[in-house]
Amino acid sequence: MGIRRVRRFGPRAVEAAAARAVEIAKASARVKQEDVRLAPEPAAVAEWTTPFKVDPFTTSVEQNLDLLLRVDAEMRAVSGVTLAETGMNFQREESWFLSSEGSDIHQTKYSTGAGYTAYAFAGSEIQKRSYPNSFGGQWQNRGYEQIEEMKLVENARRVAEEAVALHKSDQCPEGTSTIVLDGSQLGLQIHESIGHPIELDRVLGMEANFAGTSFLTIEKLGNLRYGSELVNVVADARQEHGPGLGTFAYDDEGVAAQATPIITNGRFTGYLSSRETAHTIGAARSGGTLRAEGWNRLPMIRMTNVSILPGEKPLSLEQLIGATDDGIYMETNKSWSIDDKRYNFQFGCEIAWEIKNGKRVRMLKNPSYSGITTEFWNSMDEICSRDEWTLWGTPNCGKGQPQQVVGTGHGASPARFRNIRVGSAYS
Amino acid sequence: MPHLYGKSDMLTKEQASDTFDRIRRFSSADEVEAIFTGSHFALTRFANNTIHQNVEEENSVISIRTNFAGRTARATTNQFDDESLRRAVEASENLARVQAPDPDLLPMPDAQEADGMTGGTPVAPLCRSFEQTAAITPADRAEVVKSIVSVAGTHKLTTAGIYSNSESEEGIFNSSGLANWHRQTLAEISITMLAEDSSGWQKANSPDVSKLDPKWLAETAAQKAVASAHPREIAPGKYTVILEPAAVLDIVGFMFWDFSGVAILDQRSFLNDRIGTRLFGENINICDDVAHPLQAGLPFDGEGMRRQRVQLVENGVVKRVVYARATAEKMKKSEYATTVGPIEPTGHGFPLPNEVGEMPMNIVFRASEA
Repeated sequence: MGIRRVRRFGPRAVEAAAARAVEIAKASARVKQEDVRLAPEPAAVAEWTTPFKVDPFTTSVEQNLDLLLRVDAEMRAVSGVTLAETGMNFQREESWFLSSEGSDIHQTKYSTGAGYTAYAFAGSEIQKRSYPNSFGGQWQNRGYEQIEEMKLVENARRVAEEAVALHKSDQCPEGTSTIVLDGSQLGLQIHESIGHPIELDRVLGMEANFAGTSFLTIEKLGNLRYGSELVNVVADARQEHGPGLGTFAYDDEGVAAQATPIITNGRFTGYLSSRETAHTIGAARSGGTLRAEGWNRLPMIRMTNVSILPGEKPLSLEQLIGATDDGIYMETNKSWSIDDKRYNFQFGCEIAWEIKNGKRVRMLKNPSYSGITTEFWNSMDEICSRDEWTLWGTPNCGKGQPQQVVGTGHGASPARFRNIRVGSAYS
Repeated sequence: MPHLYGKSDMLTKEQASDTFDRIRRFSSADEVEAIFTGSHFALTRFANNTIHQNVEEENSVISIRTNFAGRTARATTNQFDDESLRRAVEASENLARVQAPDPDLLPMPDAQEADGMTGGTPVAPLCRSFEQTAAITPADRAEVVKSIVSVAGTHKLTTAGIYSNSESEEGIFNSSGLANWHRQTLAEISITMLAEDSSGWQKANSPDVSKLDPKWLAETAAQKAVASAHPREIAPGKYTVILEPAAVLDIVGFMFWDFSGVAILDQRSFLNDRIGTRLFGENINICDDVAHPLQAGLPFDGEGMRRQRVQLVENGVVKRVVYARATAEKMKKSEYATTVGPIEPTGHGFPLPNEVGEMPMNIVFRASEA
């Protein structure tokens, strides 16, 4: 396979690029073990645009600056806040996919994101709180209606007060505990310990020199008990799953968006695949997950919307906490670390509360938890229902050489896990 | 000797200068700055003893910043025709006009200030462009990969990695007469060797491809994989560990974001209230030195200020941090002015506007002389 990318569109430039791509492909063929086998895919002719109510590019810069400055003022009004950061991001990406097999697909994708963080420095410690999520806030493939629904100003003071209050709170204890994770942290937990290990290119060793490999070797498909009976995870790029950063009509090799069951009642049932890798798991068709960061990058297997399905019985976060005798509720990711096979991890969160007899009894700072991927997911004994389910966006997923950063979606509700190692990161 | 793309069409400083003249004509701003970046980049990627990705890219980008009385903004395009440049200038100006005035924004530096004639010790211009690196072809890379796969075969291992080469240029022009230009090449080889229950890795890069020895890199990675076979589990706890240089950098790399004047002013640095104190072992000496023979990178920063060699840590004591121009001015007026060591622009600022200010980017740990 050879790829040649140029920014000019003139006929001579395109012909020269094509000729060079052929030359590169021939060079590739000098070092191979077997021929590439592409799963068949019918040619598609399609036009698709992200559904939205308000085109974010029709809003004024002044209006958006004003909103962010109001958030900033709310946070800085809290004594003890030493730094406030706010941000808003709109993207419109237009792509054409044409192939010698007859596909002609034009897609226009919109994404909208916003968020903020309050920092409090005191003594020798920095504490921070973010809303609605850390590392850039919340992102979805939607229009400006996303911003209007986020209640950015309304939450700013509370978040800032929590950042300051963390300095007076107790350290998260070290030991073994029941933990309840909020949906945004569970979304990142899915990303790192389910989303990455199910990427079939990692499984097959194609990312061994950079992103890593996977503990999910192929013989585990259909056989591994990944999690408890309550764990049901899908990789769903279709619009009906929601406006996630992994939502599209066709992937970047012309395969229609699909829903793949990844974990079904706890059992491992599916990988993220492409036309080149589908045959390795006996699939007749690609799972439609090949995406490129942009025109100048080679598409590769990427997470679409890898989401845990909500619980079927009605259960709110407060009811879940109310049903927990002794545990720790953790919110909003602060750090992550996981090995190259995606098996052994440690996460830090911004804030936590100790739970005693169904009530939050005290705030805890520097909460962290660690575990082994399959042990962790098998310890999940409750998950909140649809009312608590949010399709979170991770805009900064990096992979590949040269590295590509794309957005992924992760739907999650708060969930409870038993016998988890906590507090080791700061012990 | 053929170039990376058969015939080089890299932008020259003279062409960039002409383009900047056009940009100035299109702008009504008080000040204008343009950053040019262009690259020819090629990368061959292999895994499972097979080349599975092989890419080349050619791109040039121009990023335009305009200033209006303390307001600044930037717009970027990779199309150099008049209409595209006009649109980018207009976008930059429209964004700048709606900003709140920034009291810390300085006038753009002239050539004399940028070259360090007003203070500090700038590094000399660097020669980091090597024809031999630019001339590497897809077939050349395939041959090198074949030799790496051969080493893997000898040791009954599976290999994955990359071999890349590039030539790139970066220039900055502004309406105060600044015109800096830098051209460099870079070759990189990174190799992972996989055994049944172990692995080894080795990487090297250099502007001069003749400094890379693929066979040695492959053998070293293979030896690591062989030597670490059949690992046994050890209990969690505290151990004495010896880390190879790449592992050291992986662990401490993020730390250097905090050796920044803005990080101190924002109170988000672990060095807050700690500059001048011993935070490392006495045998630790760290400097930022873009001119070090094993380093690569530009000799000027995002405003065109010539980069200086900066001693960050001496005998374990944190001596100072790096500064962009505006950060240095702000620090001098701050409550920290007497406690953070020397304060002057060091040529480490990022292109404006940005929220992080600056950071050291060419870290050198000096070996202990004991």
